[in-house]
Amino acid sequence: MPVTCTNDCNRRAKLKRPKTAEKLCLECFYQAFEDEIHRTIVNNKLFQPGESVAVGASGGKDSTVLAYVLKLLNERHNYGINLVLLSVDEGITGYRDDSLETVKRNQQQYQLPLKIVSYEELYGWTMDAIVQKIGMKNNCTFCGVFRRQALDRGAMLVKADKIVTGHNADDVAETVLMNVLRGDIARLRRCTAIMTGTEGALPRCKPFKYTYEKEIVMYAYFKKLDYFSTECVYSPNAYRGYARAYLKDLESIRPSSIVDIIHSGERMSIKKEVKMPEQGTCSKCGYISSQSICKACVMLESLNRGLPKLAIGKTHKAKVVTICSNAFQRIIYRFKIFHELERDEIKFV
Amino acid sequence: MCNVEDQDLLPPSKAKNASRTCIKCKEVAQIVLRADNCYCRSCFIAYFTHKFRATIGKSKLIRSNEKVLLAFSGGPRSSAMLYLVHEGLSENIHKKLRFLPGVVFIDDGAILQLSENERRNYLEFIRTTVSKTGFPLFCESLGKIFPTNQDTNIQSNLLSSDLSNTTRSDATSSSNFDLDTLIKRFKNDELKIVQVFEKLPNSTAKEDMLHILRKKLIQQIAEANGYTKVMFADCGTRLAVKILSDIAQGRGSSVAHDVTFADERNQAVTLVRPMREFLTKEVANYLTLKSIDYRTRLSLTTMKPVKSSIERLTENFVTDLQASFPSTVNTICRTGDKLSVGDTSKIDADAICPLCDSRIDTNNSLEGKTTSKTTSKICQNTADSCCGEGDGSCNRIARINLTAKEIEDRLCYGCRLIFHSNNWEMDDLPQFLIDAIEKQLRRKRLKEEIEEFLLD
Ligand SMILES: [Zn+2]
Ligand SMILES: [Zn+2]
Ligand SMILES: [Zn+2]
Ligand SMILES: [Zn+2]
Repeated sequence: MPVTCTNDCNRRAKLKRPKTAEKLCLECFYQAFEDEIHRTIVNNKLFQPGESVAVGASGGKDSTVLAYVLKLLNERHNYGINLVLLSVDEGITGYRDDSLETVKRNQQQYQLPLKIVSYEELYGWTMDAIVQKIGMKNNCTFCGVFRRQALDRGAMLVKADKIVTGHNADDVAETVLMNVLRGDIARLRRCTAIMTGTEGALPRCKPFKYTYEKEIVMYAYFKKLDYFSTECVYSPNAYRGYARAYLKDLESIRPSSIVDIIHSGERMSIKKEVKMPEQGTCSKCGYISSQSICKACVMLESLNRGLPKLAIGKTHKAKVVTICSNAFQRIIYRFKIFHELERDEIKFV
Repeated sequence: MCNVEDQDLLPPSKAKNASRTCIKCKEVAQIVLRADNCYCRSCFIAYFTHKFRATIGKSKLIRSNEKVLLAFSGGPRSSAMLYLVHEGLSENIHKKLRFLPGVVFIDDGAILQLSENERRNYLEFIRTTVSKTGFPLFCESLGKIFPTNQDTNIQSNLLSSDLSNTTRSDATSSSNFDLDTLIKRFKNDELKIVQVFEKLPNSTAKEDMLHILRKKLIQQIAEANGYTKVMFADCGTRLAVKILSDIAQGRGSSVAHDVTFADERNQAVTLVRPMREFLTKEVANYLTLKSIDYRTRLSLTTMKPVKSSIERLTENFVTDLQASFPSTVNTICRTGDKLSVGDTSKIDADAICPLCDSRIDTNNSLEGKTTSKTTSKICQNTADSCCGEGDGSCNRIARINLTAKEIEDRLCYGCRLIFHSNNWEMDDLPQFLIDAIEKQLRRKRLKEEIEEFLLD
């Protein structure tokens, strides 16, 4: 027997909203989905009229839906912002091709300007060239450091005032759990902020902060949005994998868990006496950095001077070896490592 | 979306040599806490005892001759705590504990649906164990938190049954009679609470409620009997579970209170956690070495699947993770230690959740959070008087002029989740909660009357 939409619109319900378990028709679901994001944008004053906003576009579902919804809301509610799609091309043969194709199609479909920034453009080196120069062993270190800055640098290049990313509620909740599990108090404090960014870096915001991943998938599916399904070759490492599984289990027990965790994250305050890493800016490029010269600049300099002499921590080395010894999965790991090593402490000789 | 900030954690390296030595005296170790952390029997006991007393000592919070109530459940942790306190008081040493302990046991058998026989056996165990220490014992049913009779003077009803004294004066009889009368009285108090728990939507809400009510009742008993501190036997492992399940249940704002050594949210009675530095494994070793008798504590989700409640799932999660990464519990607890309880002196009484005593954390709009339903129906009320929920819930007037909405508004985020199913009534709430909310509302109305004369 067909169920009617709980919203009393007399239409047939087509889906159960993952967030509230309401049975809705497609129209009411779209409305609810879009209105919620609009409320988040308005309540948090994410945008000012006249601003140029760069959408970090990877071709994956989150950023594809984000670009689509932001364009729609911008027109519907007159935010008066200029949207730009921004993609990073690391210059790794074969890795980004498919996703970049998707982004290019999105540009056509949504009629939004697209800027692809390449590592070559930003740093003068593609990842392939770096690998040629230094070999397979340490390239991950470079990519990790470069990648972190690429979106910011690209956004500055297109003169954007802000970056929006597709981080959704599941991502934020998972990060809260992760940071508790690994005792990263500085990140725990920052990770639920809907807008981040201080001097030296562009403000970054997450309009999907309260949006469930499942609803993003649903929206993309019913709206038939074109996205590149494998968001990224990254497979979860030890702790994040556990955190993700735990979150999924929590969600199945109580669907509101995801927003409940975000609420918790917002409400935890850190003791005053706990020391936080100080953040300054790089004297060379102005990017946020805890050192006087940021890691990317140090690496670039050593690359440009010739073969870099850099020492990496012991565990780091061990990990690279373990991971890379498995030749069968080498390609996958290569990208996985990029992500994992982002945070690793790197010391320079 | 990928998150590029992972730090790798390598699994522990497997130790190669089987014969291990005590890290203190180099004798052959019997207790292996971790590959690099082994003790012989006597060094372990010394370490354990010292750590317990040091945790209490370094806080400098418990004064000489202060009356301290031990929350005792008969389970492993509180059995170890009772033993440690008893030993620490009787020993003739300079680091002796110097407070005056009492023991409180809350019987939640009605909620756990234990048979009368099971409950009698359990109570018998509690009585025998506590009577060995000579400490006064207060036994009460959890049902007491919902006074059934109209003479709802909670204080007077809490004149607790000092069972250990009864036993001493009546040492010859097997005193089964006493227990039977006690259970009968308990059952009389439990009609309401059983009803209330039946109405709670799921095991997660039930477990959360059980903890809150148990703590509340213990505090009431402490206060009524002149105890200013209550010791809870939560160990580090338990606290790590608490931190995560607090977070998962929207209680981020109370995590700091829930894991700190001294929880001072209740002004009359401070809760302290002297076992917080221990792991479950250490407690288990101590119990075995000292041959301390205890009962396996049952919970609402014992024997149920892992996913039957958030707490149960979290317990399982932490235990599994601890097995692969032995620093898990410590890391989680260290995170908890760095959280601030905020400036407790500046909290307005109106900004306290009347159920769990936490600071109200729901003031800003809950945009995008589950409480907001999709429904865009227009509520019949005029915009001004509508609760904003838009689903007509503001028309549901409960008795004593408290609407369900008014009650919910007074609760913190986490406590709202307990009742997050619309089928509850005023009758389903403990009297202390209704009293507190009415008091808050009266104050609010008074304040509204004089609002225009108040200078900022
Ligand atoms: Zn509808
Ligand atoms: Zn720099
Ligand atoms: Zn020893
Ligand atoms: Zn509460």
